[in-house]
Amino acid sequence: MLIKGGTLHIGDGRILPDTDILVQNGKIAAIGTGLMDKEVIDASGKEVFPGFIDAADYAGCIDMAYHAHDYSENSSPVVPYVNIKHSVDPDEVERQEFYKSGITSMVMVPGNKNVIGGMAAVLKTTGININQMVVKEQAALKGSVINTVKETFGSRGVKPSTRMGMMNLLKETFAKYQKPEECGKLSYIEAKNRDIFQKVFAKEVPFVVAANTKAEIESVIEGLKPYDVKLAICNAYQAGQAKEAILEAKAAVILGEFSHMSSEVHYDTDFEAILELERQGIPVAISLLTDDNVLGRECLFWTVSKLKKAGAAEEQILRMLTVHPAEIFGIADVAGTLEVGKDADIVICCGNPIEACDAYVTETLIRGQMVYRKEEAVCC
Amino acid sequence: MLLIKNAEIHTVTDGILERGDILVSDGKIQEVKEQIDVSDLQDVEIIDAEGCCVLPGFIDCHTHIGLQNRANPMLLGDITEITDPVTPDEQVIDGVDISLKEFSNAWKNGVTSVGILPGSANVINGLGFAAKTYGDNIYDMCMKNPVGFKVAFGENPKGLYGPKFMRPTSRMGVITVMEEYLYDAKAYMDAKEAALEKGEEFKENPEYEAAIPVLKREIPIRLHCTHNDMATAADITKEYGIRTVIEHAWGADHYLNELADVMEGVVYGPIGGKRTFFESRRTDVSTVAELDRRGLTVAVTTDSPILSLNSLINMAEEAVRQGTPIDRAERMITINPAKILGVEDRVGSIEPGKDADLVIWKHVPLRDMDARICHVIGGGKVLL
Repeated sequence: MLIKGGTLHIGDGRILPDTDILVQNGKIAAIGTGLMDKEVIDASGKEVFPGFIDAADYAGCIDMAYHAHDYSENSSPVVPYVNIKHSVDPDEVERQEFYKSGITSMVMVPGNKNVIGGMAAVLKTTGININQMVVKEQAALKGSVINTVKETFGSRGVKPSTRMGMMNLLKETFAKYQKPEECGKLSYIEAKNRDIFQKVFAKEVPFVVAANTKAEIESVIEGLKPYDVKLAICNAYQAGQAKEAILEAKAAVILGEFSHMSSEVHYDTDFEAILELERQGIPVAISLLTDDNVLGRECLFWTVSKLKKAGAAEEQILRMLTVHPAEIFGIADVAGTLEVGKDADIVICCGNPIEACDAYVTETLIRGQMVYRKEEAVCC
Repeated sequence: MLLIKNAEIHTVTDGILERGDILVSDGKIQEVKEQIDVSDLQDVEIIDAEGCCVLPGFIDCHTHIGLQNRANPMLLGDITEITDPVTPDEQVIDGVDISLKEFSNAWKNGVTSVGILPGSANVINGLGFAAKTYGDNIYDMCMKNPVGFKVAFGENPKGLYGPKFMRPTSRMGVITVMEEYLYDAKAYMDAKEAALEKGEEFKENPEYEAAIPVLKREIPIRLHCTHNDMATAADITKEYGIRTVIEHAWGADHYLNELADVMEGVVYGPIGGKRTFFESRRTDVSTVAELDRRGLTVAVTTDSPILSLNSLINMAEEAVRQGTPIDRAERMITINPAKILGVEDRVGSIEPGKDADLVIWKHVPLRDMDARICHVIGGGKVLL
């Protein structure tokens, strides 16, 4: 398949006008001019982007009727051993129609109820079979130190019921699995946890931890200082206020969703400071995750709108939607930019949705398959 | 006095004045034209809005702000009096606490007026009002009370009363509760009128008094209604000759005829939620463009606190992204919600005589993603 004559936004800052993309076997086979193929999508006058990445979500782990709460294993506040892949219902993911907003990959994370909640996976946003959707299994270890943990466990008289309790459990778990040999014989669960923490300590996967406020962000960074790990703060509504600590720790930032339940922690987000963090080399990504829920596909661009109002440059936003999440979760070899050899996850738009409100997605490709085409799209 | 100079003025009701001035005094818009000479006037504060545009303050006609203190989870919410499925004479204004940050968050983000309604846990929920989001006392901030009679079809009343084995446990039970109330209220109204005509004494019942403005078409019912409940809503609206505004309206794309024929307006949203069971299973904001083309008064809503009021603009942006022309989407957060609240004589457009609730923007909202607020003027005062 050939996508002909579009303006390509590569993702790394380059913009190539009137350029073709040749797609073969689900991958980008060539980028250039004058390329040929039998099947052609005319993208002349259109803007072409790498597929957008929703950097934290668990749509698909709650069913439509809200009966299945499979995003969180609530039997204990520390459950590193569970794997979100086992909770995903592809039909529920499909129902969310992520591709209509140009979202081609999502990071499926355990929810925010556990101090350590299990392993995350990167998935494509469509597929009839979970194995077809997986981009990377065991892509991150997920944690949380927000009030949702206290509400889940403290309310049943189980630690943690306080912030200090959460931090205590977090530090204790890291300490334990840094030196598992001192624990004597490990149980099945402990051995599983040890293997997971080995990946974390080897920096093969990041530790992604939900922290909303400046205090929560600073406590996590301070608490994990003794450990050399790849840290990413998710939700991170007050990342701007905790700028110094984040810069020092070189922690990545994954912004949560900003509209849900009028939570007051969203009101004073310092978007300008978050953009400054990005300029100083901190990877910043965007997600649909909130304290205790996940929102719809539209909201990814609502956060883009808020960042644009704070003065974000176009290429900065595109990095947040593509390159940065790919880097944080170690999938830059297959996603994040329009480059030869990567998955053909491609979004074709009338207008540039990062700049103009009336721009919209006309076609979305995932691994070279056209998963969405807008009917009667009149463009340019 | 305040003069905003050299702005691109989006009047909403009379197009865009490419470059003009707005004179404000006594909290009202006095004049809107290409050039206003104030050299003869004293004490005029001037804002040079060169390169900026001015829109009326935004309006969300369906909110429950000031009613749920999220900072104190020990408190029960004040959104709905959840002790009886029929609570027609509850006045939601008496539950509103303006110290909650939702109010300042609203006006700082350009939302200067709201409708505050009771929630939808009961079938008949009580009376909502229209208010400004800035001020020190909700009774002074109130523009009009009541503006709507809140009724809820669907899942919420069922969810509350069904598990207690009280009516309603089903959707058809919900409709029966409403019809019975309207039937009794109409009988009450007729009896009252007959008694007064004869000069007889009549003992008033506040529960039915609340329905009289509805039956006399002075205020609309604001009906939580989605999907197939819209067919029922059309039947009841015709039968009782009442005015109905459909709230939430998810799934309206399958009931366009029923809506266009009998409804006074549609308040769509919130959108941006996950697609979930029953009511929000098909949320598609492209529907608002079609409803608007068919001549309905269409607004979009955050349903705040469900989504925060600073996302009202995102909702209108999304309408644009999904095919609504920019000038029509602008109306969905200005004059249309003002009409639904019955306060279009005061807010919702930039016209002489209207309240000076004005927002000055750098770049054009609903067109440019980077449009941002420079100033908010509420009641003629520069708030931001």
